[in-house]
Amino acid sequence: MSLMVAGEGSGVGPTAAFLASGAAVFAILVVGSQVVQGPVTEAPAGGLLLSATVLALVLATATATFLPRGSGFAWRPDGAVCAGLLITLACTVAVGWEHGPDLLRSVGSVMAPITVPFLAALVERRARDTQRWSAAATLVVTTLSLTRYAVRDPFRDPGCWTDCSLRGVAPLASRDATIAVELALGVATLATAALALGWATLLAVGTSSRRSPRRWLVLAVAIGASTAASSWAVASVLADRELVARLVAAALVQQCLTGALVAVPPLLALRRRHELRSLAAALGDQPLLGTLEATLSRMLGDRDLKVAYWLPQSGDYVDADGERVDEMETRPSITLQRDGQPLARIYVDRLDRELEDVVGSAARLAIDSERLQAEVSAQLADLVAARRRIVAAADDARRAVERVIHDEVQSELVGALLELAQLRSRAAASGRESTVAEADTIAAEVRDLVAALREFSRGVYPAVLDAAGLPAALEALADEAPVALRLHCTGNDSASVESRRAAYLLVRDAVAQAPNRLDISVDLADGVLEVTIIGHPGAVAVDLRDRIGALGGTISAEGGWLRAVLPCG
Amino acid sequence: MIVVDDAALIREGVARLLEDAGIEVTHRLGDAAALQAAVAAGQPDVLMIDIRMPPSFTDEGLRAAAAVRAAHPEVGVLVLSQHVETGYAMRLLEELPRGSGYLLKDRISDVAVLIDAVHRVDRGELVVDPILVARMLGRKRHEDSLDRLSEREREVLALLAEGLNNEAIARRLFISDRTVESHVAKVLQKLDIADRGEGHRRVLAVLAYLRLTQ
Repeated sequence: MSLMVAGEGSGVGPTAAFLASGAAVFAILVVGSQVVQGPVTEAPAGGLLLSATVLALVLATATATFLPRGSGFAWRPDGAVCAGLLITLACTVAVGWEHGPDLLRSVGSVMAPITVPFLAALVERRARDTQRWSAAATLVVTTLSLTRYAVRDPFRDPGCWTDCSLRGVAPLASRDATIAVELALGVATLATAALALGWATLLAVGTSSRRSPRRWLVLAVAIGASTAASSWAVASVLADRELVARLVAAALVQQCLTGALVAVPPLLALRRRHELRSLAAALGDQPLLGTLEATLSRMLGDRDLKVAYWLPQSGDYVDADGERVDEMETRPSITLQRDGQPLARIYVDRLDRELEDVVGSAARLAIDSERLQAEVSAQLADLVAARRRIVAAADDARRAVERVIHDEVQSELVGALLELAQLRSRAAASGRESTVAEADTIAAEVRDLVAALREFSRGVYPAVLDAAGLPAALEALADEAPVALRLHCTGNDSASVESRRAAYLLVRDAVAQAPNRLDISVDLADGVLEVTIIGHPGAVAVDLRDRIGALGGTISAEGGWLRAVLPCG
Repeated sequence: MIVVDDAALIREGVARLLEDAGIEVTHRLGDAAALQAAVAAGQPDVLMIDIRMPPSFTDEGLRAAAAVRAAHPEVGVLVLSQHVETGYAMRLLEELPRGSGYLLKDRISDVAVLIDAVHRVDRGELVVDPILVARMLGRKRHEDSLDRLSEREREVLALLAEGLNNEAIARRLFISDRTVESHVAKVLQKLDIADRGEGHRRVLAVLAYLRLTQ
C-alpha cells in the first residue's frame, strides 16, 4: 500500500512521505510509551497503536492541506479525501468516547483500523499501479478488524482505556485469539505504513538513477518502519521491557532523522520559491539582453540553463544572440506559452513543473522584450549572412568570367597569333610580300584585341590580388592611376581574401574619382585591416559600402580622410 | 629549351616557332609537376614557362622557375604571362636577378622578339616586356623627376629598363654606341642612380628607381 498519488512528477512524493513519516513517528512514540509503562505480558497495545496511527494520519493530512502553496506539496486533498479524514476522525473519537453509545463505539472500534488503508486508497486512487496493493491492504485490515471485534474480550485487555466499558460485543471471546489477532492487525498496519513510507519516499526523491544516494534514504525509511513493527512484536512475545525500550528509542531517533531528510526537498522548494519571487521582482526592471538567462541560471543553480525564444516567422527557437538553438538539444525543457502560442523555452538540467508557475507574468514580460531583441538579432544575423553570400557569389561569378577570358579566350587568341607568325615566316621565306603585310596587319589587330581583353578581365576580377597579394595589387593600381598615389603597406599579407578584396576595391574606387594625389596606407594589425586614404573625395559607392558592411567592417569619411576598418576573422 | 604551358595551342605554337628558328626544344610540358626531372634530363639553356598554370592558376610558373634555378643556377628563365601588373615581373627579378625575363604572351608571336629574348636570357641578361616598362614610366608621381629628361633620354631610360645593353639600345635607336653611352650617363645622373656599369645590376637599379619613386 502506498499513500501517494503516483501520477505525474515528483511533487506528490513529499506530501505522502510527510504523511507516512508523521504517522510512523507518532505510532512509535505511543507504542513505545505504552510498552515501557504498562504491563505487556497480558495483551498487546493494539487498539492504542491503531488509534495513534489514525490520529497521526489525520493530523499529517490536515497539515498538508493547510501548508502554503508552492512549498513542495503539489498534492492537495480534494473533497473525497476530506470526507474520508472526517470519518476517520469520527471513528477515533467514537472509540475513545468512554460513556458514548455502545453502537457508535462498536462501529468506531471496527472502522478505526479500516480507515487507515481506506484513507490511503482515497489518496492514491489515481495511481494505477498502487491500487492493487491498497485493495489488498484494505481487505486484510478489514478482515482482521472484524475478527478482532468478534474474538476480543475487553476485560482481559490491560490497556483498555479506549473500549473497556464496551459490553456484550465479543461473541467468540478468546484471550489467545485476541492476542493473535491484535498481533496480526498491528503487524499489518505497521507493514502497510512501512510500504507506504518506501513508496512515498521513492517518489519524493525521484529515483531516476539506481545508484542515487537517495535510495539509501528510502531504505532507511523502510528499515525505520520495520523496526517499529518489530519492536512492538518483540515486546509482545518476549516481554523484555528494556530491550523493547531501546529498540523503540532507536527506531524513534532513526525515524525522526528520516523525517527531517524527507522534509529537506519541501524546505529547499520554499527557499527557491522565495528566490524566484525576487527574480520576478528583478525582472520588473528593464532587463538587458540575455540577463533573463543569467538570472534564472544563477537563481536555480543550473549553470547550463538556456533560454530560447520562439520566432513565429521562421518557426525556430533562438537564443539571446539570435542563434538557432541546436535541434539536438535533448535536455528537458519548459515551454512558456501565451494564448496557446509558444513564447520561449527554458532548457534545464532537471525538469520542474513548478518553475513555470513561479516564473510568472513578470518573467513573461521580460521574455517578451528579450524575445523581440533576439528576433531582431536573428534577422540581423540572417541579413549579414545573406549579404556575405551575395558578395561572395558575385565575386565567384566574376572570378569564373576572368578565368574563362584568361584560360580560353586569351589563350586562343595568342594561339592564333602564333599561327599567324608561322604563316608570316613561310610567306616571307617564299617572298610573298603582300601576305606578309596582311599577316602583320591582322596580327596587330589581334594584339590590340588581346590588350583590350587583358584590361577588361582585370576590371572584372583582380587576379593579381589572389596571386601576388594586396601590396602588389595596389602597386599595379598606382602604375596606371591617373593621379599620383603614395602607398604605405605594413603588416604581412595574411588578411582574409574578402577583406583584401574590399580594401583593393576601396582604393580602386578612390583612384577612379580622385581629383588629386592620394596618400594611402594599409595596416594589418590585431586581425583588423585598416585602410586610410588621405585626399579622398568622400563619396563611396553603395556596393562598396555593402561589401564592407557584409564583412562587419566600418567606414568613415571626414574632411578628405576616409578610413575603413575591415575585420579579417 | 623546355617549354611549359598548360594551353596546348600556345605550347606547340611556341615550340614550332623556336624550332623553325633552329632552337631545339627538348621537352614540352603542360604543368610544372615533371619539370625538375625534365630539366635534369634535357639540360636546357633556357626554360620558357607560363606563370599561371594548374593546380591553383595563380603563380605556379614563378615558383617552379625559382625551384629550377635553385637546382640548376645556369638555366635561363623566360616567364610568359597575360598579367600586365608589374608586381609579378618585379617578384621574378627579385628572386632571379640574372638570366631571367618576363614577357606578355602576345609578344612571343613576334618571332624576332621571341628569339632575341631567348638569347638574351641565355646570356644572363634581363628582359622586361616594353608594356610593363611603359606602365612604370607612365606612373603619376608627386614630383615627377622624369620630367627632367629629354624625350630621347626617356627612350633610353625605357630601353634600359627593358634590359637592353648599350649596343642593343644603339641598334634600336639607330644611333652610335658613343651617343648611347652619353645618354645613359646623363639619365643616370639626372635621376641620381648610381652607375653600376652595364648588365643586370644596371637594369635592376633603374627598375628599383621606377618602382620606388612615388
